[in-house]
Amino acid sequence: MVYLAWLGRRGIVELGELLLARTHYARERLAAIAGVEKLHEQPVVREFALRLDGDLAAIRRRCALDGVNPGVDAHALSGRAEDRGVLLVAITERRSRADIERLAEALQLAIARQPDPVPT
Amino acid sequence: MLAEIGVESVQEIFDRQIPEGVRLRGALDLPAGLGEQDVYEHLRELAERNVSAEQELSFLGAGMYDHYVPALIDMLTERSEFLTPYTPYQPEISQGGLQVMFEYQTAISELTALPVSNASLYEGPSAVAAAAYLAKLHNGRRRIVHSAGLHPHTIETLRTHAHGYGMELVEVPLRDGVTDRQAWTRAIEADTSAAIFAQPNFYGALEDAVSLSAAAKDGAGARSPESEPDRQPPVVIAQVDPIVLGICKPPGDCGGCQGGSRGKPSTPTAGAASCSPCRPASSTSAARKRPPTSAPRKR
Repeated sequence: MVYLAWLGRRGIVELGELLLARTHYARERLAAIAGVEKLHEQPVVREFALRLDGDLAAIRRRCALDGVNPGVDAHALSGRAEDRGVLLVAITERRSRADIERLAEALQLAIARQPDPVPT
Repeated sequence: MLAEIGVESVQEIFDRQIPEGVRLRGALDLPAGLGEQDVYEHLRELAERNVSAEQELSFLGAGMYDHYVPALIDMLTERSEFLTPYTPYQPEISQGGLQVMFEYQTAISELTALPVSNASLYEGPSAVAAAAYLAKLHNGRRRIVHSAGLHPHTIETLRTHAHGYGMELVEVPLRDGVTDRQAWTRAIEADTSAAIFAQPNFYGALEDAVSLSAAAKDGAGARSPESEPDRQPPVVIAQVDPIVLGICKPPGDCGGCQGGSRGKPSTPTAGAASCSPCRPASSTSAARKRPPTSAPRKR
């Protein structure tokens, strides 16, 4: 309630527009990486799904070594066969364009460096 | 007491109730006790191994989001008229609590374009299950049609509740990232009580809410048979993230009846972004017919 009042009528529209634009930008930026595929062309906001070429758990571990948590393993939550290898990436107003760039670099390196060594 | 219930010993109660194979033999393998200060040191060391959302660049979501929470929220919500009123439903001493609930419900009603808002549910999945139950009370039918784009936890909660109140779920798959409109229309039959989708869906895609609502209301299965000209279409329930309502058509303007949503995930603390004070809202046209006698009350 306090948050809504703070945001106000214009603020919630501006926040929505910002999330829409930033989520779209992040999806296109990440989908440009070799081994990353977007699932569809539908408009996305707040979050989007990517299919990664390789072992998702290993890629997530690699990114974590770079201080980046790239998102949630969709299959781990849904259990659906079609969600295997699908990464859910969330974008909030706290994630800047530079943050998205850092994620793109970490993801690109993690995918290129496969297979993953045994984790310690 | 043992004689009264017809057993020789406490052990016999366990022997009768717990299958042989899963019974624990002997003591748990635990280290010896520690002094308070040693326990504190041990726990502090364990806690230091955690990585918080402030330490790494986090793109975690799937229900909990690392939103920015301005400092004024803690400052205002920790004021005593909100934080420590003796009990929220004695108006003479809890004006702060009642006022904030009224303001919240008003804001959510405006955001969702729905006439009524609740302010006392747990979180998104429970709000959706409660909305589905309202649909059952409204039309007495037994089938819930839901999009595969709902959050998996919402589907699990819905399934658990539906079992309890004798309803069954029918899942409609996604097609090209959004709810398959043809399958959705086909799935909605005469005994469909509620049709539920999420906006945006679990995978972040924006659903065509107007089209899904229209299909649920005008689809072949939803149309009144000649024998029942007054029959009402199923209740359409949208689980919405309030943060997108500034840019999306609100449920009340989609021809939908109910919105089940939950408030903004708040306060990223240690660990992943947490969503402690979730403020769910569930509004319904069914509720409009039954005035909510206990609207602003909280247990």
